[in-house]
Amino acid sequence: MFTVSKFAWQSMVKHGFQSVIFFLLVLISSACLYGVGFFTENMQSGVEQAGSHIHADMIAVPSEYGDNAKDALFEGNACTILFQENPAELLSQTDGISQVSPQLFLRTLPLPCCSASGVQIIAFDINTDFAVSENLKDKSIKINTLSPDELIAGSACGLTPGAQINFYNRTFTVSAVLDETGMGYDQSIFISFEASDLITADEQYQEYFGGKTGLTSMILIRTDDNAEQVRKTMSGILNEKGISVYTIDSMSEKLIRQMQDFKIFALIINLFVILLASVSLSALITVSFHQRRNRVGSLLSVGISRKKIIQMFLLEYLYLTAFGTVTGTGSICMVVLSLHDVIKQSLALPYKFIGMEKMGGLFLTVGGINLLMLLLACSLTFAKIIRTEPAILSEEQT
Amino acid sequence: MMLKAENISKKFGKNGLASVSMSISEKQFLCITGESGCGKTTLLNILSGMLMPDTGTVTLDGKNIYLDMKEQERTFLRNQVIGYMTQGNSLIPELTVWQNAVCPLELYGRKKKDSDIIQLFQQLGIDNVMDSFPSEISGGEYRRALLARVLLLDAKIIIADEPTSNLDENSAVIVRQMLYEAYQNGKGLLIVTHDKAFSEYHPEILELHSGGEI
Repeated sequence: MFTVSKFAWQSMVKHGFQSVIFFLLVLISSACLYGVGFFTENMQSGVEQAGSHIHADMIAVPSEYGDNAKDALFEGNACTILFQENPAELLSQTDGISQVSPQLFLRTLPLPCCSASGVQIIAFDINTDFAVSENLKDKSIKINTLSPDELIAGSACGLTPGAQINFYNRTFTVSAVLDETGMGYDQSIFISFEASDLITADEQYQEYFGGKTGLTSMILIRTDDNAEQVRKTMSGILNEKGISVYTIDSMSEKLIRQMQDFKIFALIINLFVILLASVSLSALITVSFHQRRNRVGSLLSVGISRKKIIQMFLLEYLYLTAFGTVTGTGSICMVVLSLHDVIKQSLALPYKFIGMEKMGGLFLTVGGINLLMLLLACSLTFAKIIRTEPAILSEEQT
Repeated sequence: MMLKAENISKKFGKNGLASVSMSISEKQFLCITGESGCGKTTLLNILSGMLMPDTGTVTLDGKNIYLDMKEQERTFLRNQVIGYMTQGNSLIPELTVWQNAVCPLELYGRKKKDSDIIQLFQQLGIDNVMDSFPSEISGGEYRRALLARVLLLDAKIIIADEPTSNLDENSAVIVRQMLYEAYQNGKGLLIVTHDKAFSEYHPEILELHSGGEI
């Protein structure tokens, strides 16, 4: 039985060149729209959740190291921050503070296992920690102890539990891997303070650490009350001691502003792509219709209704749009996903995978936009089919 | 069933059709002749509901096809009541000869037996090209394929525009015979032609002059 869909399919195959051009246009515009959307959403997800993945309300760092701390935390940048004296005890006794946990940003090392941009080695206190263990991939794992030859790896380090890596002339075994946080933790390796003391006290690394132990870069703080209020109350006393305290919210503000600027830029790119694709598709459909104009007249001459003819045209373009959308989004998806860790390391912003559900939503959005573009592009042609008399379409009148 | 035109006119620049009246009904064979540009094709287009006249009326059993019928009904007329074989290359290039012939039927759920279609193709001498595309067949086969498409519609009135033009004698004979056979089976047959050979079937002949005079 001959059907409208069979006609549309056959017509699509027969007009191979035009079909390929149409398919490529949809593929490219879909890849652009989906790629930009996926990338932006991943960044948005990273920025929005960056603060929450630290699981702290405030951080304390040596004065004038606020920006370094932000870069190290959110972007995984290399930094050298050291307190002259560990202020953990002082902070824990301050009113309004419920928990403190020190961390030492040891060094950023290019390790053979991991990314070229390097992995940040952070020492943390397993007894007071509330940041690292909260991000463990397998929540059922409870890390109570971490021996000096064990470590916890960030999600983008490419390590799995049980793997072994060497740095600072020591061999470490991966005991657990963190969930993706979208921030610097993803490119970090966490060792115990016991291990870091062994390293910093080692004579080989005298020039870096001066043979000292008990070094601290940053104190993560949890508060009982409003963090900003606590910060204001204690900032006077702490400033005198050369300690600056920043709330996590205030540190993420700049990131959120940067993200908003990026989103506007992404929107402009997407609008440009939509405009360009709509005009191109419209031109292609118009040219194609002019070539097939007498076919429309011919179909009308044997009593095939305009409705069915429009269905044939629409279905032919719908097939191509569907193939183009699936191929375009699928291929860009594979590219962005396979380069996920590389992108994350290259960006100066947090970046976190949005998840399959949001990816599906984005696919439907791109599909919807493509469908609207198609209808817009077809509208002129369909108007001509509807308005023109059959004899004029078939060009048979004298 | 009677298709009737009264005082129809249509203007195209200097050419056109002026105030023509005529009718065609079942079991009637009518040939229209006339010089080029006198409006023969325009007349057929108007009669088949493909082109609205500037003035006058076209009625099918008393019902004005342009005023009393919607566009869709008028289109449907050409699928059920009026079989229109146009002059130009109006096969769909994307479809095979077979698909071209059956698509007007099957798109509306009408199905003919394959054996009947093959028999018709054999009678028309195009059974060897039924799986070919229009671009792969000769001019004579092309016209016969157009005729097959119209005959399969089983319409009550067949309108054909120059059905034997540019055909070799063998093809022309087949086309003339098949059209005459349709007339003998009770169809109304309206043909625009310059082919004098149709006269052997003793049709009524109308001569159309420039300006629409008959």
